[in-house]
Amino acid sequence: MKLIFRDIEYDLDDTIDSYFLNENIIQDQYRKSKLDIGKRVDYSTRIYNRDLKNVLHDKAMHGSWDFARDNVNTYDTDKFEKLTDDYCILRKKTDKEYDTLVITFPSFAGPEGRFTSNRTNVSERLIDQDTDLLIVNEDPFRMPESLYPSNLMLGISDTYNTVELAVEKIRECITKEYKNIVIHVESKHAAAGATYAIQLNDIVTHLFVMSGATTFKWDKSPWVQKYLKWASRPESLKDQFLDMPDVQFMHIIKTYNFKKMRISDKILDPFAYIGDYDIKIDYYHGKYDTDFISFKKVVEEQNIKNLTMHNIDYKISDTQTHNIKPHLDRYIIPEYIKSLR
Amino acid sequence: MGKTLDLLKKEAFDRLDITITDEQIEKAASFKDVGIDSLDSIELIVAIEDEFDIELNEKRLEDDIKNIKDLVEYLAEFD
Repeated sequence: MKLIFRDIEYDLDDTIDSYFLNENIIQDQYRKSKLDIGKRVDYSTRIYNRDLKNVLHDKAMHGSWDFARDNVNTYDTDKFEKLTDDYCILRKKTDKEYDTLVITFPSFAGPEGRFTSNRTNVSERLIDQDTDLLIVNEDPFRMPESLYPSNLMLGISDTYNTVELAVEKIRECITKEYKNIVIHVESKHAAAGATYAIQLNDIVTHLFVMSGATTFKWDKSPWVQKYLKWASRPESLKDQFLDMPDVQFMHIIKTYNFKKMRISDKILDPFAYIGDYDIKIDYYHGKYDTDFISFKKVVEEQNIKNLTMHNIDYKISDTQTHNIKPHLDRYIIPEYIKSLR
Repeated sequence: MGKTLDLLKKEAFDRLDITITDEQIEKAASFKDVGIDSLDSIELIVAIEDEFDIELNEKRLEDDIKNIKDLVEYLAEFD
């Protein structure tokens, strides 16, 4: 499989070529962060650019991401207890008896998020709900942007490195019976959330999804299809420009690697199967989010009987339309949790 | 009342469903006590910058702005 990124052709079947593609995508992000676009850049983008530069600088100085180990192998010890030695699963401390458990899979966009956060960096509003809470993190050192095709599809850490092992460990961490168990996922973990819900369908009752990548199946992913269509364009359209952000290239690379590894469709494309299970799904998509609308359509085409689609009239800014998390945390989650009682 | 303070109160109410009172400002209430978490503050700053077409200094925001009074005073520099 040949992939053209910024006018250079890479062979995805060549490990070394894939390695340099990964490095070049990260370098491309850095170069974009330095671009002077001649107008004011919004605050959240400035924070992102600064964090990206800082972690890339530290990586360059250190020679690896290891510089961040002390930052990320920490958690809020007042509010949480660590259930796995690798810091991947943590449980909210509480003396109360709740009948609902939320299992959340935090999603960080890239190295600037993963390497500047501790392992309990989830919304206070989620933590403060009247529920038990399990945080299931993906090991930040095990998730290079594109070379290693993880995104929870290959477990959560080196120890729990398959969905089966991760599910087994999550089960061990659930020590009582609940009326409701909610899997809560965002963005790039949308498909993974559905995968884990299916694997835990005997105990999981609800799936709460903030719109994102809902399939990693090669011949179904809208971003893969968009690229393949462009790559096979007729000679008369050879000058046609492909407007494809880095994150979409990363998705294509991961999806190709999953294909090569012959990962089951039930793991890669879970929304095609989840309708067979008694799991109530609420799917939230931002009205202004054009990035992931094609993945939302993939879900809608499945006509899942237990799925409710919510269109959320919210955006952080004109340039930040995908992240509806602040609105969900503030207005939707509290009502959602109350509705379960 | 300055126009930046008006806007801060309006955006906090419209976006976050939070009422910022004069008493909270006078007492230099923490953001947490006002009900504003870190994501909320980013959202508020994005909205204020957009409205006034200004750029606040990130370092100053992180190092010097510790409570709602600090923020109000910083924003007042743009009145």
